[in-house]
This record gives sequence, C-alpha cells and structure tokens, in this order.
Amino acid sequence: MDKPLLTIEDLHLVFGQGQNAVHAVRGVSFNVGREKVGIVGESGSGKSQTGRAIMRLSPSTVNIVAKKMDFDGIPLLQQTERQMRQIRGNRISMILQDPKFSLNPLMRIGDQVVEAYRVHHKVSRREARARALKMLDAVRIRDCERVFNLYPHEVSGGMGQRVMIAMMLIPEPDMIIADEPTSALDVSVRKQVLSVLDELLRQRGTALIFISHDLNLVAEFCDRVLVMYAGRVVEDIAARDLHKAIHPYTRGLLDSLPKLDQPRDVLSTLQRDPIWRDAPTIFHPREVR
Amino acid sequence: MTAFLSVTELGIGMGQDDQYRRIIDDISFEIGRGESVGLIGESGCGKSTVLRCIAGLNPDYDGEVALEGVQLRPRRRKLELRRMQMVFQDPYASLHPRKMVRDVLMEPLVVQKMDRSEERVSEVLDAVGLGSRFRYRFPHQLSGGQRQRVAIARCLVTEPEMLLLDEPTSALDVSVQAEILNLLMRLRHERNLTYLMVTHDLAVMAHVCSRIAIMHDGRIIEMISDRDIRDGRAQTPYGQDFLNAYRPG
Repeated sequence: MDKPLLTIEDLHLVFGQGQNAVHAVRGVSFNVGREKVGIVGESGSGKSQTGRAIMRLSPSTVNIVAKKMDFDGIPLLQQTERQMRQIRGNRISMILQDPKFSLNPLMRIGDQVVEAYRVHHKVSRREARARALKMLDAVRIRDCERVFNLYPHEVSGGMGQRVMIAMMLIPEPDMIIADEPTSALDVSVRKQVLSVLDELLRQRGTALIFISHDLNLVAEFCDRVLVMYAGRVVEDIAARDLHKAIHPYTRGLLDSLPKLDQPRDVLSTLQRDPIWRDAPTIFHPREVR
Repeated sequence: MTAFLSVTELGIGMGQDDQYRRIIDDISFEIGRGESVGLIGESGCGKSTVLRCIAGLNPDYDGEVALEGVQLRPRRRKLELRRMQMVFQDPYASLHPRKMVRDVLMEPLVVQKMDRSEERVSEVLDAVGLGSRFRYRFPHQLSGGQRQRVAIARCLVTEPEMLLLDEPTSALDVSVQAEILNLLMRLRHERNLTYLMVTHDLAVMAHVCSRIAIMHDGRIIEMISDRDIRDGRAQTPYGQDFLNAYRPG
C-alpha cells in the first residue's frame, strides 16, 4: 500500500483536570490512505472527538497528547493556529451532521460556497462564482443559478447537505472528515447524498473519514471500518468482511439490529464486558491492493 | 366485533383560501385490541400528524376517531386521554429538565386523580426495568436509553390501553434500541397493549408490527403485512419504489 495520508499513533484526549478529568479517547492509532474509512461506535465512544482532534477543533479544555499525528508529513499537533488555518478547509475539511446548524443562516448559499473557495485561493469574484456554480451542479443541484441566491432556510435538508458537500469540496482538500453527514436526512435522500459524495471523492481521489453510529451504512459505503468502544479502537476490519467481525462488542452491535431476513421474537442485547475497555485492538489482515 | 380503534375519513387542512392544503386526507383504518400497526412514508407525508390527531394533540381535524365503537370528540375528555398515550422520538426533548423522574410520573396521576400514586410510580419504574431508586434522578442524570424508559413509564403510569409510538428508537444507539424494542414487546404482551407506531426503519417496523400502512402525500395508499416488508413486496408502484428505496443494502 502507498504511504498513508494521515497517521495517528497513540492519541489521547483528556477533558478537564484532576479528579474530574474524563479520558475520552485512550490510545487510538490508525492510518488513513486514499480510501474511505468508517469510524463506528455508540454515543460517547470518542468517535466524534477523534475527528475533531484531527482538525484541532477540540475545545480548549481538552488536553491532546499523541505520539504522532501526521497529515501528509505535517505534524498537526506542532502547527500554530495560523498554520492550522492553511490546513483546515484547504487540505482537510469537515462535513457536519445537520445543515440547519452548519450553514450560516444570514448568508446566501452561493456566497458561502464562494467564500469557502476564496479563503484559500486568490481568484477574482467572477471566477469564484463560476466555480461555485459548477460545484453546485456537480452535487446535482438542478437550477443552480436560482439556488445560488437562496438562503439556507429556503432549501430542504438534503439539498442543504449537498450544499455543505459542495462547500467542503470546492477548495479541493485531500481528506474529508464527515461526522454523521446523513443522520439528519430522510432515508431516501440519504442514498442520493451519499452517491453524490462517493462520485466526487472517487473523481478526485479524496480520502474520507466517515463517522457514524450506523453499522450497516458504514459497511455499505466505506472500504474499511474502525469500531470504537470506550475511547479505543477495538476492531479494524475491511467493510465487506464486517459480518466476519470477531470482537464481542462488534458482534453484539451487529446482533442487536433487527433484521429483515431473520424474524426474531426477542432481540439480543449487548452484554458489556469490563475487559473490553483495555483489550488490544483486533486487526484483520488486509489483502494487498 | 368492533375494532379497538377505528379511524374513518380522517383529514386535516392547513392554510387559508388559495394557500389551503390538505395535510392528511381521507385516512381510514382499524386496529384490533392487542394488535400493532405501523405507518411508514417519506418525511413530510403526514405520519406524525395522524398520530397527533389520534392522540388528541391536533383537535381541528375532520372525520372520526372511535375507541371501541364510541366516537371521540376532537377535544378529548380526561378519561379518553388516559386510555391512549404517546411516546415521542427524542427522549432528550420530551422530559422536563428541571423535574425529577418522580414528579414527571406523578403529574399524570394528579391530573387523572388516580389513587396510590407513590406505589404506582414504583410499580411502573419496575415495569420498565429501571427500579424505584431512579425516582429522585433528574433527566440529565440519565442516559438516552434510561430517558426513553422514563418516557415509556410516563405513558404507562395512567394504565393506558394503547400506545402511540412516534419513532421511539431512532434517537438511540443500536444496542439501546434493542433493549427498548424488547421492553415494548414485553409490555405489549404483559398488558395486552395496542400499538400504533411510526418509524422509517423497515427492520424495526417488521419486528414490531403485523400490519403496515404506506403513506404518501397525506393518504394511505396501501396496507401490507410484515411478511411483505421482509420480502420487499408491495402492490402499488409507489409502495414498491418506496420499499426498494428504504431497504438497507
């Protein structure tokens, strides 16, 4: 495999200090190449905080420690805030859960997309506008001239999320972190948004970290899945082998889903085992591509 | 035999003059006692509105809602309200943040003038698997699954015959979802409850309900069985498209 784009070794995140300190992420290590990696886990497992730490967007009360957190050879933890601004959006960008909260309600949609591009590229207004329109078209927004001039409250959730994708892709980043990008959307719209995202990522060779609580969705959409439990990665497995997962936590999650093809009277529930907290990660051998 | 709940030509309109639009239109169905029926459809098709009309939260509907053959007035009477209770989607939003679990559970008892309130609170907390030690907790001291259990306990405390479930597990983690679904199935069995549930998750729907209505643009376009959902089979073209679009994989 080629050199990984992002390397994380032994990442720890501690919220607060002293007695009240919460160790939210405890020794997470993984690599991301030009691929789609899913991170799944329950709420509170540390998956979103890991995503935020990569962008250095953790709250200031968080103590981030890592042996190594390199993005394309750049040690992220040693960057100044000014240097980070050159990376955020430009090299790594982030898609958040709900377009209702992540778009600026007082700015026209087109202007937000234009701004995202002009922050990182010195181009004329007209050229940026042309690019923004092309980008809106690429995320399959019909009639993009009209949508360009709308405000976020005037568009549907699915369209809002496609606008978010357009905003995040227009600076042509090398990696995108998507934190529950489709959880606020209707199921039928979800597929459409994901296919737009997939197509654009494939065209540009952009890497993706997809954070979600939905195992099936991640297994379907990503190449590789990291399963997080209590701040650690417990299993690292190819998405298509997810049904062969061996960690009892991953198995428990899979078994607790009601299934269309297997009617059951009582669903199995997860019996948590304290040793999971500190058990080593189970790696599955991956075939060389 | 009369059905437990029968809904006849239920409709609701919103807006005035040329803005007038039928949000739901000509909805008729029946549910037998102890049966579970589901409503599915795209977001915005009116599923939750149907639930709210039946619960009495949306009094300005037309058409008829009858319980065991007795027609209910749009403004429900207290005793009628007691017989049907609703569980909402988001347990973080549906519990009062400054009321302790005990107060949340006591309130319906006071309103309904029911006796033995302290005992009832303990019993219902046991029934949902929390235990009475939870009675002095505030919602922020509970996890999402525990809150949803409290919300279910709040419904059960008035000893209803029917629960209206509006996406009861979609805000929860899958491991917690399984626990809540098991709880709902057990309670239905123990108390012979009747369920009307809205969810967008076909697997959850097929797990809980035996008959499922597919809604589109405020109308029920067809009624299918859980078997049909599992096999992905519908009669109408829209129903078929819908099942194909919503099936995982």
